[in-house]
Amino acid sequence: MPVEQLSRVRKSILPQVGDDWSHIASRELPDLSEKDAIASLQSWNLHVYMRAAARMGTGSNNILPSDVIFVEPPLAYG
Amino acid sequence: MSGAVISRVELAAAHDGDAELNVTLQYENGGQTLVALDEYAVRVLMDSCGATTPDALIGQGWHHVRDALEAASNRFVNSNSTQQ
Amino acid sequence: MYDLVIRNGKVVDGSGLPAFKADVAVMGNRIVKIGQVPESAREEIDAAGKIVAPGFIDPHTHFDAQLLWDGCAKPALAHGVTTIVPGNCSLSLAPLKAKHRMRLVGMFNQIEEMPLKAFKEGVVWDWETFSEYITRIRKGLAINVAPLVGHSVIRLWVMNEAATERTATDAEIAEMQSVLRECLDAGAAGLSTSYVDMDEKLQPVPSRYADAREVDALASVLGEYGRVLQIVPEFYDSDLTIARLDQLAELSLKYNIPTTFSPLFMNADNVDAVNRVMARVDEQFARGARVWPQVQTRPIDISFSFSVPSLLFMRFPTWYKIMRFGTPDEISAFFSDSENRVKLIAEAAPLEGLWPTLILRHVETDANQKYVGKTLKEIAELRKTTPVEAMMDLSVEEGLEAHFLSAGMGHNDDAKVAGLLNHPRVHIGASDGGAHILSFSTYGDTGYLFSHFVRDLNLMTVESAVKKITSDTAAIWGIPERGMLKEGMIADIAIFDPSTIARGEEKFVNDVPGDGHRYVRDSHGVDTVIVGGGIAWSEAKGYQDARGEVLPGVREMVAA
Repeated sequence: MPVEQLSRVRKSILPQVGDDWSHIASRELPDLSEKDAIASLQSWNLHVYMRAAARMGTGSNNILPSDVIFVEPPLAYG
Repeated sequence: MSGAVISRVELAAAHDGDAELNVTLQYENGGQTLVALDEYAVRVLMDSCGATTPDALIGQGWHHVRDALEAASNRFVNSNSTQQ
Repeated sequence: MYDLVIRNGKVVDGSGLPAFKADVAVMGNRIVKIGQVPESAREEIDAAGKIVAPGFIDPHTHFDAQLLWDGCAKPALAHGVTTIVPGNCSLSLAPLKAKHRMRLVGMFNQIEEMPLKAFKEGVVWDWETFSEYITRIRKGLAINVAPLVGHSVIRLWVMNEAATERTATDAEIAEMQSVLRECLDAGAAGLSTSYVDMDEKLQPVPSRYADAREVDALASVLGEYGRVLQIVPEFYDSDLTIARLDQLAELSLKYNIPTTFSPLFMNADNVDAVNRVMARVDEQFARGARVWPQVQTRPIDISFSFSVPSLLFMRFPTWYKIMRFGTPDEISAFFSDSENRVKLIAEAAPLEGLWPTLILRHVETDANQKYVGKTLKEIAELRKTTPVEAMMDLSVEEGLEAHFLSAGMGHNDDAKVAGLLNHPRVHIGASDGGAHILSFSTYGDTGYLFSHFVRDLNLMTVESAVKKITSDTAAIWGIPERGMLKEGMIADIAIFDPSTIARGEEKFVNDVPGDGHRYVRDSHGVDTVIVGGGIAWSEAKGYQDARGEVLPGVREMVAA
């Protein structure tokens, strides 16, 4: 089966070097205001809050390099 | 701005043998996700929502869940001791 | 004359084909004949009425520390398990610099609940490299070991404290590749990594600070050897699990390696989600990727005592409130007060269905030891009271250190779990043997597979169950010459009674170095376990020969 024929799954990205919510928001959700884009991203990625990452980043940047970051909400299934 | 809200809560068995609360969040597009909260996070969530029973969490916004998870995780940040 | 002949048994050879009656003859460490064996042997076993199967392979364990003082990985061997895979979830005990020992001990303590005292009193630290660790555990090894090397440990070796601070530089990644090659040359069966585990400070383990290019670089080394990549995905979320299995699929295709992720649980509220994960697994296999989900056989139990608040009571406000806000003395006083008891009893009425299955698992006093292992319903009858009052009374008598267990609270829909276990892409595993030792027993999942899903529920055939935990596992992990009963194969054999095989009751034992305890389950119905042609354990004589090997062995041996 070619990769193009895989069924659609929820769209995600892997963080780039130096990524925080703001960077990802401006890159992935350019049509939204920064505030709304960050809120959307955070609401789609609550797993990021399931662990502290005190040694990585500062302030609200708790994204780890290995994290999967969803850039859309969960898909609705019939 | 995301308007995801808690649509369901259910007690569940965590991998490590503790009881946890599975919270289902429903998004505006109809999609759902399930978030597992430990006892500490549930306490924070209920306090933050002013809920006295788990069912009273239904309808509350996703940001309460985010903040409860963050508070539960951050309680370990300054801990230097291992559990024994 | 043969060294060993097993006579009159029913051979379930691991292929999945129907059982057949035959004798099995062994010379040295190999099976030399299956069929009628008229010749005599130095040792003979009468297996009439029993099944003669390949030894079971447990692909997800954390016996790394236990192997330092127990080459049998007790009680795994007695359950018929002849090969274990330790080093899962990004953690192994090598390679490990001396200066990092206590750090890793802390991680093992956090993740496996292995007491610090066990390391202090049970371990002579005489290794640093993976090769030295292998040499160390080979002494007295009675069970075969196919050890994974942990990504977190390699990261710590190369990056020191920066392992939990940042991504790696190109030079560091190249060094990690070199270290991984050394480990694979020394006998590592593959690499494990984790996206969920926490370290001794409850911070993400080092592997979680790796970016995708680091994982890709390490997978490329696995490709040079054709070895396995194991991961722990964010198993609580199906979308995350699918994202991870897609990553694994790309690595599997790019480097032609087998990959596996564990665990995958089936609960009442995630049936559709698990079905989506399995549909994705099927799609990725259709592309040629090898992405094996691991599913455990046993259900998940919830344990609690009244010394720590448990969400099990959160729907009962009076109970939860006193658990949450009361000191131990206040809770005891509350439980003893007659007015409060009336309220508590009334509120707990919906728990009626719980009492026949809620078990008292641990007490401190001698007086109450007689109730351990019994259900609250049974205890109530013995004490001539109600179950809920028995629970409160025992808690008060034990200073709140009466521990209860509510069995089968998760991963408990038998038909659906059996559907998963029978799925051709599902790898039966995820036992976590050797981990969580102070919380619950991680031994006896194979006995539970045969007693529950094969015998009691008839949801699997014994042939397919055996295949799943022997030849399938050996094929997935690239373990040569094991997993099947066939002439010429290594003689790893489990002989068991299909009418009695089971996991025993959970019990708390004091057999961890440093006066430590753990929960275990004895085997029931397993007669004899043979490793490398030697009787490693028998019900009659206990632990005997120690012919375990490190598998798949050093690279040169595999190439040969």
